Amino acid sequence: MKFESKEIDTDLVEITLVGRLDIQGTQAIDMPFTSVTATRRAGVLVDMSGVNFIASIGIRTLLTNAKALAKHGGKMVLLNPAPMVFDVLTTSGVDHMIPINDDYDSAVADLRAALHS
Amino acid sequence: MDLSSTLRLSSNLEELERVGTWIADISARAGLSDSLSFRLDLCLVEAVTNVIEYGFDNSESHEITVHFEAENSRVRLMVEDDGKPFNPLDVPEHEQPGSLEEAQIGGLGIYLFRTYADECHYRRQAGKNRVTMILEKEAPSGPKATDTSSHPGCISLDPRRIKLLEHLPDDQVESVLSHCSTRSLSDGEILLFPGKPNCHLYILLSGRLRVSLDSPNSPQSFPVGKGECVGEMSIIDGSPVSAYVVAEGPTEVIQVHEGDFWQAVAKAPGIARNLLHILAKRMRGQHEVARQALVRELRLEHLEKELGHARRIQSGMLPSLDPLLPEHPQLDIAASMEPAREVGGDYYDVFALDDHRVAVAIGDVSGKGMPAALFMVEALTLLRVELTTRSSVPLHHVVHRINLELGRDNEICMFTTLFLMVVDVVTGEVAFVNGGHNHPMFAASGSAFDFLAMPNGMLVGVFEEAPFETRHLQLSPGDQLLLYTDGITEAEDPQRALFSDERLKQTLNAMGEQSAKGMLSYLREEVKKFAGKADQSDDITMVAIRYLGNTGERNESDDAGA
Repeated sequence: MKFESKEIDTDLVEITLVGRLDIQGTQAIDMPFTSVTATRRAGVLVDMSGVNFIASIGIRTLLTNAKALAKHGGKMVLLNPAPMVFDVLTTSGVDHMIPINDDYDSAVADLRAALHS
Repeated sequence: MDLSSTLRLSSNLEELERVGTWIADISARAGLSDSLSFRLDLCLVEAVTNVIEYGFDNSESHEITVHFEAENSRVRLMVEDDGKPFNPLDVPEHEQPGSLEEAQIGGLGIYLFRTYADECHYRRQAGKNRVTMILEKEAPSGPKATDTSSHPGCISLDPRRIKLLEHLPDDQVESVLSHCSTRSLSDGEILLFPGKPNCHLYILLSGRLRVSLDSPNSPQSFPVGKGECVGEMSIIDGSPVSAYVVAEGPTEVIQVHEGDFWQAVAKAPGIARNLLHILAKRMRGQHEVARQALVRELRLEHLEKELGHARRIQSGMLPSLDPLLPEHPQLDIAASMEPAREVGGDYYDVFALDDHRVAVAIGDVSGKGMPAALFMVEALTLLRVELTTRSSVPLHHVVHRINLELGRDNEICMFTTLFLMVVDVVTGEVAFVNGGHNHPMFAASGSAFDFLAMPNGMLVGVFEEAPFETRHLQLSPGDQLLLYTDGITEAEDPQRALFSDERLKQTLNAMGEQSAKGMLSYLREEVKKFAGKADQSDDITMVAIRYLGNTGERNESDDAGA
């Protein structure tokens, strides 16, 4: 699983995940993911387009980090998951808790708005 | 093409990596679609993870066997392990949480494989768990999960996820759906009102519906999952809707008129079976919730009854004759115990040993409820038995014996304070022993009240070797004594200030001439005035004694002093 992050603005971070969000994949990205999301008030855009598989452990990681982020007053948005991954996310109800967006600009706008409210 | 393959894994999480490669390999050989391959992968990963994480108690390596079989229209996956008996199908359905705060992270794995497999079976045989998952191969023209066209008949949700249409052959599904229309709802739009007649069944396709009983915007609402239905009760029994169903965010539903629904059922009886299944599950769920609520309520009722019984035992044991010692007019003695609502454990006892001598005791049992009540019964019984059978033995020996008996078999380590005195009403001689109780107040005739110096003595019922001492006091006519528990001195006012020893002393010294009963009512008044609106937190127990001496004739006014 590959993890990349870049600051696109103050308090606005874009994370790109590539690979399988299964146990191995999650373990590989846990540390960097948590350090970017769980420690500060930020808008975090997670580019899911390169994720080709997600299991419950991957969902747990997303949820845990989103919760921690929310506690700090931040917000997470998932961008462009592939169809089967999107299906799993909606089946488990994740879309009710972490917004999913397929448009980059509107996702960023959503995060900006959340930070400034 | 029929194909089968077996994979053996050892029971540690690193092995899961092999699952992905194995599934990719099989999918290629069996020509499975990408989405079927994904589903297989997910089901297997979740099923195996579940076994590894929960199936074994020890850290030894166990073997998990996975078997795959491809048939014409479906594939079959079997996961076998020799761990603890565990049926994942028994686990209650994972509830979709309403918000990030509520989101719980457990139980999702089992939910996912149960959802993505079209059929799931469990068997325990020859010491092994076997979970079988069957996944239907999709028809080549099956709708994709994210198809978003909006004209009727073309649904933006995989029909496999519509519970009502589960396990139906594709042609029946298509036939049913062709009679449906979709309807879009905007955020906050109310789909169903309680009391309103309804003749449509609705199935949630996308977006969100919330059901609430009391108002459309009630915080106590629960969500409807995608593929689930609302309105089905009305089309079954014709009665009006019983709850608000409101859309949250832009929402799409399939709308089926009841006439069309029943016609569809005639063509595809599987629908009726699915509906019954849905209703039965719902009933069981509700039943379970109601049952648990009832159990909680009964437990609470039982506890309160028990506390009530305990209370009655406690107060029922205390002597309440008026006057307490009719045969011993030399002693003007009165007692009262005002129980607090919850805490308890105070007791007193006053009884005659013979013509001359009377025993007076006061104490406070630790704990509350039944155990404390029973301990108190034991203590009071021992008191009477020991004192009456060993009436010529020094008082501290009596307390020593009571201490031993109470301490015996005392597993929960209850204990009590005890102040015990024996008064010879003819001579005025008093012997007293202290078992960890607070010092009584004593006023010699014509003098002020002050604390009575106490001999050493420990709490009773704890320590076998606890030493006790007898001390003596000589009473003259007019002398007064007040025995009490810390319910008085620790009574609180609304600012949480304590009544305190000092205030008790001052209050007694401001009292003036009073009979024993009068002393009690005066003190009760003073404590009430002090406490004001604050709740009584502990039992308030007092025994007031006025020694009248041998010539003591009690006046009529004494009795009326209450």
